Amino acid sequence: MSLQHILIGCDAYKLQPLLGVLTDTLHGISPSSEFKTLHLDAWGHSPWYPLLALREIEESALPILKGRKALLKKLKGTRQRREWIIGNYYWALWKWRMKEIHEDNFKFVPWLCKSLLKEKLLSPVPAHLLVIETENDNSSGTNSAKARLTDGAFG
Amino acid sequence: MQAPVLNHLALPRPSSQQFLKILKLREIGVKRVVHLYAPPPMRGTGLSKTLSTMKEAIGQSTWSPLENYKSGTRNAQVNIWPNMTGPLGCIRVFTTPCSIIAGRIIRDAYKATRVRLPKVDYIPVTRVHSRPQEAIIYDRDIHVWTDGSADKNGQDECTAGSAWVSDMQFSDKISLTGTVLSNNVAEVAAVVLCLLAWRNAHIVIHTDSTYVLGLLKGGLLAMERDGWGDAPRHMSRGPPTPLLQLLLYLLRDRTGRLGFVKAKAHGNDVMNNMADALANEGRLSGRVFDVSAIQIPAGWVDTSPVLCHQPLNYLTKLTMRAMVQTPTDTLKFGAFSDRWTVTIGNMFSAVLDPGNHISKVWDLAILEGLKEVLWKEMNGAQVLGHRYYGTGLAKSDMG
Repeated sequence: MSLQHILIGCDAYKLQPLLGVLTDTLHGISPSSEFKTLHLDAWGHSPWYPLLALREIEESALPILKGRKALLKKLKGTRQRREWIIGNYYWALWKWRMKEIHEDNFKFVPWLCKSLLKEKLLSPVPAHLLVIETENDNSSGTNSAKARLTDGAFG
Repeated sequence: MQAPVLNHLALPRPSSQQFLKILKLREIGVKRVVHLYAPPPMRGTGLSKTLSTMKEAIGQSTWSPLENYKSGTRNAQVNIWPNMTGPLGCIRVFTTPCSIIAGRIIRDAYKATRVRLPKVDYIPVTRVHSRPQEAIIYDRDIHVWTDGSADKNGQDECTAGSAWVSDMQFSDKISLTGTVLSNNVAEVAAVVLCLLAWRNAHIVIHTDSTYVLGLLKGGLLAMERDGWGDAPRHMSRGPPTPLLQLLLYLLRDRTGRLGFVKAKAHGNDVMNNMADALANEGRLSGRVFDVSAIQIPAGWVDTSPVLCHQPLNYLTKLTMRAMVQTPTDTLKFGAFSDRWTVTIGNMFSAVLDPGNHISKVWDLAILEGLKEVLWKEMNGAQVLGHRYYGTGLAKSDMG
């Protein structure tokens, strides 16, 4: 079972209910819902790829228009929160699938997990994960400033 | 005899003799003397004397140019012939030392020698290397008004044009392409176009662009010092850096005097308004000026990148990249790099360097366990270890 299979789902377990929860949550905190980066169902077969370059993708996708700077500022203000939400979604899928595989008495039923997922997605971003993003930030020196988050902090 | 077309006739020093020559033109077919333009320096006694001379020479009692002149408004063309119906046979009287427009040949009014002007009907983008073979010497400063025009300024579909108008009755207009277009770029292009056309003449450029004046006051030198990093950029088109570098080259390569005057935009400056109108025409129908095709002669402008004014982490990264092979540069990440580049390009039409982004997984605001899963997925490693498989975790993690 590949990571791609787990994150996208299959006929045996369709993730549309959970994907809907994720999309609603993302749209709830974003300044605009017109960006592709806010529609994970359009991210194709490698859904986590854009996570690595959300900022660059959004900046390149925005045309030069009046108000671009303000919109970019709003997107920048929600970017880490969005990363946290998407990351929580993927991590939850991963954990649920692993638990289903390794524990006999657990069956992963996506539509039953909607409320729990919503609760996880709305959890606040830990303070040590928040990084002040600058214009020329190449993120090369930020690792040392971050404490590592252990699995126990999830949930 | 068919009337010759006289669009312009030079009268640098109006005198009765010259006007008599004009009147002889009527005998050979010029039927009407219809138009007289009185620039500011000629107003007053000089113009009155000229008009009196013309009246005496023509000898028509029904025509009174003096009265027409007096009743005319300031800064307006004075119609001194009541039967004017068209431009044919139009004669203009100039007070400045110029000019019969005849292709690229200009007759110097004072010296009565033929000199060759730089070609103004082409854009020598690829020929800016060559210096003019013939020096053009005028005994006065030529005033040139430049202006740029942009529609949908700053947007992707922006179109822009540039133009210049001189007091020598020469002008030119272009349509810009090949870079991020904006009103400022069009203004710079107008000055560049003007400098290309008047390579060695003494000129005074009138511009209404504060941006251009800022560049000339030190902005260009600052950009050169800082490696041209301040030019506006866009993902799909290059920055207008070549245009700015060409401007600096033209400024350094000049032999004639050069002055700049701030003109008031959209004010009462007739020439500036003419340049504005011509720039609008150029935007719609001018010859194409491709900024990306500009080549700067070597040695005139420092185009090398510089390291000053860069943040320390950027310098560190540059040094490390040049000296150390990072894990993401190894073969283990090769397949993922290719897949990631293609996928991002297809999904978002963005061309990104995977080498800059693979390591960013550790900076994402996501849980540490997911970071490790993604990292192992990227380098093709198996996700092993009980922490990834749910054993030993709290029930709350699993729901």
